[in-house]
Amino acid sequence: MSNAATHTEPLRSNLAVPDQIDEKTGLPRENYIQDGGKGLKSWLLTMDHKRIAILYLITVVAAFFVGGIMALLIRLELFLPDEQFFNADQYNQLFTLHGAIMIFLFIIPSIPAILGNFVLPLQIGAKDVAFPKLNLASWYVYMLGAGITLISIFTSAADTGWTFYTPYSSSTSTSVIPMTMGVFVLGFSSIFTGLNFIVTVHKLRAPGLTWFKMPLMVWGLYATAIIQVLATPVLGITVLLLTLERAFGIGIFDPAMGGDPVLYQHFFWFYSHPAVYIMILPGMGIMSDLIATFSHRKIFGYKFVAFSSLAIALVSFLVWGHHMFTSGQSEIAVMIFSFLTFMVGIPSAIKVFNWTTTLYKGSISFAVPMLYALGFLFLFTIGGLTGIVIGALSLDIHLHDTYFIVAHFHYVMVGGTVMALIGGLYYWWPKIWGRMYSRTLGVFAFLLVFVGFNMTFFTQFILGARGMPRRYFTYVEQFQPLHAFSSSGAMVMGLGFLLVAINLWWAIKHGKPAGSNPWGALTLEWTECTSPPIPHNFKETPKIEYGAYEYDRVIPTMEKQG
Amino acid sequence: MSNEHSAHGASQDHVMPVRNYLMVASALFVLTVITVAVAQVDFGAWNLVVAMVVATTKAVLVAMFFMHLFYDNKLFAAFFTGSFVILGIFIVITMFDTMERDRLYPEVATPIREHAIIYDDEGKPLKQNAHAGEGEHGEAAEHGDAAMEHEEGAAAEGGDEQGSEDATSGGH
Amino acid sequence: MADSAAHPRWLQHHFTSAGQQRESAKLGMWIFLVTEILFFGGLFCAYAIYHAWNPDIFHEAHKALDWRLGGLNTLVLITSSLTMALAIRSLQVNKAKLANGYLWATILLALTFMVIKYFEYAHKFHVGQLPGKYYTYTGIEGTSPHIFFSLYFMMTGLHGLHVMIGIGVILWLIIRNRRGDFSNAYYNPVEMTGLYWHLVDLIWIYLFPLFYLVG
Repeated sequence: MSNAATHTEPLRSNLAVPDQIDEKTGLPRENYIQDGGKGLKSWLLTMDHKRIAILYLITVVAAFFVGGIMALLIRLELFLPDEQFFNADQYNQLFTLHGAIMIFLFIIPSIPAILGNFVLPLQIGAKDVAFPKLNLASWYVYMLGAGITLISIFTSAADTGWTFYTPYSSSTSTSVIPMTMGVFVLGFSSIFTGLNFIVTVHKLRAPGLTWFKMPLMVWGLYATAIIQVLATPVLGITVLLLTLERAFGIGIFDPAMGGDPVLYQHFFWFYSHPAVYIMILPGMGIMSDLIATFSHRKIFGYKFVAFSSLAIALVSFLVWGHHMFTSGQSEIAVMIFSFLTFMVGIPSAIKVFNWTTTLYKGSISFAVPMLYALGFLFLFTIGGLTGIVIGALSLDIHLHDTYFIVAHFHYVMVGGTVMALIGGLYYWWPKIWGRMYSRTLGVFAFLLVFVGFNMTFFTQFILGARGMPRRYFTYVEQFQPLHAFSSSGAMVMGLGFLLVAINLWWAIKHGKPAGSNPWGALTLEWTECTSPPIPHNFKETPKIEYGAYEYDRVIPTMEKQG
Repeated sequence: MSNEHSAHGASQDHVMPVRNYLMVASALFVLTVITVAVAQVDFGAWNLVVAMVVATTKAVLVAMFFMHLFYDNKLFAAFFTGSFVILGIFIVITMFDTMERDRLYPEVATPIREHAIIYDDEGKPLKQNAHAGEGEHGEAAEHGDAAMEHEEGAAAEGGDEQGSEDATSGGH
Repeated sequence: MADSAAHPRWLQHHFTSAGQQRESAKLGMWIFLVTEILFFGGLFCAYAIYHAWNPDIFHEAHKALDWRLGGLNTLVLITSSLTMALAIRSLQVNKAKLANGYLWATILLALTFMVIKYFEYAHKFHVGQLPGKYYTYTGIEGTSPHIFFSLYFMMTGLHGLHVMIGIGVILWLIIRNRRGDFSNAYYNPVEMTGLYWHLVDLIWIYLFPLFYLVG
């Protein structure tokens, strides 16, 4: 190959030629939304990964808004000190539900199950995931788990916090068992998705698609899947033991019976720390795709970004004890964990540096998804760096269980994962529905989310450093201005999320037809698929001749309509 | 259909002769007998080591031949062993905590011991406590200097036993 | 259809060849086994820690288990693994009828295992060697011997549950095999169940010495 950019035509037979475009709708005549069968039953019994992604989209977004309303209620209560709307017990139940719903029902399934399900087979040129039935089963298991979890709301919601620490969780009078059993069931859903993705990536790649030609989204999902299958079973056994402890008093975690409550924390965080990377790694995958696409530049250090995903997955299994610095672990364990924690910073920083370098001298277009990518870059870096702060043993003793921790993980989870999720939704929305949303409203909503988010959570860094403890429904008078500011920010952010949802919802019916490749991207779902794709994705299996981001060799053909 | 299948012959499994299966099974039988026999003799902590070595040998035989790992794609073996590595990390690092809880550095241990009260089964404070138990520290209490010295000696030795047991069994 | 020969009914549409489908199924099964190992692994971790904390009590408590019954069960389970492996081999050489014989033998051995397990459990219920707060037995010296029995019942109970599930799945295989679903061209479900069954055996291989022999 010459080093000059050579224009490679995509396989035209895979794209809709003008006479296959429906004149009334402006979309390709054959697509998975119309041709996969009609009626509710065809959706509930579908085995098409794209339709399962839509099922997940609906339920996971619903969970996000339920959890979000709870967050707003929490911030409303905290606007002023003392009891406003909820008493201490109700407040405990409220933040427990907020945490459990956001973690188990929203963030963990969010990117893999919605966007991963939709784009993974498309990006590797496969007709479907390896086990379509299992894929559908994972959604039903998710629904079952969500149902069991929500029983807890209507009995007397658990007030343990989403971590269910013993011995409180085995002695409180609220209904912990529905929630732990719900989490147990939800674990299977997560495992099914992860298992499916690993096999799909190993066995169903299109001819010519070597590992290092894959989009980095696929690498991110693959690393996520590895964690899902390795860590989730430990959560399963943990909540099972907790349930047995509560129901039958087996005494494993009960100090009165010779058990050890700190052992519960080891068990719990051995899953839940890697789970943090289940949340962020797919977001990092989206980031790589967005940054490269909208800089129109080959991603800098492809192999480093790819392997750093695996490195994060591996190191994630070594650092769980940094959640337990103040829980009475042995000193040697605490030091080992603190040291290993700093190591997580390395692969994460590799990614951030590579993304930033990709931007350098790129021809950047500020499309709505790119705004979220840049937002991610900014917020995730703050979240990551404050993680280093609390990974330092001596500082964590001071900051443990304060708002500093709350702010830190919200910067990573919301500033990282949710930003990436929304960026990804904006990015692939034209592919999913074939229609484009309003850019103006998109930019406006982004500004609300970004500003509101920083108002809410940057304030909480200050509160935490000044000693405001987390999980309290009241506080001393002097924190009131900061709390009020944080609460106002939350309302702004909430409005921003609502506008995002309205914009995307509106686009499904009324957006302009987007065309097969509105962004000029080089990955298969854009170059070889119609928008929306046909039920089996590709008319013929694509042959891959260039890598996912080789903008130096290939000039993509922009396919825009309308 | 058989023609079709032979086109993909490469993916077919290696068919092991029945004799090999029987040999593996006999080896497993013999190893079971060995491990039971060894357990009847008391080697102290070595009993556990021997039992685990024999069990692992059996597990490897089952995995290699009954589960065909020896002939199959090495990727399967990689995932399988990978799971044991992760499990090993889980157990070993957790035990770094559980086995070392009562081993405190003097600058941490001394103030804790100065202020700790250890209670006996009736809930009365013990005057002398052999080890400082985990988390059982409350208000300041009077302690003899002799008791203090004794404790520091114990801390230097770094008792490997679980501290609270010694404390609850009534001190010395 | 013209391509029904090239695309047999058991080959799913998104796979290009039987080999690809088979390898995918196997990889998927192995990853499932990995999750099983980590699921049981949590309990093995708990066992390791409580054993290291209370070596004497574990040693005393393990004498309450009968190694003869445990050893017998080990041999039964190893034999069932053998019959399962031979069932798969029979399908590889296209002897479906013989395969069903081996599958029945596997079920019979699994039931034997469960019956022996039942007698062991019944005895422990009778004398009060039960987990946690239900523990009423007084014959073992030491502060918390019930932890040993908590772990014993959880680990062998979870293992027993896996044996029961295995029996169910093998029954389903027998029905499908009688229907003529399997031949040397396609026996994926039997092979995957075999992998599962061997893993159940493999876990018992560790449970037996840990509870019955060293304690």
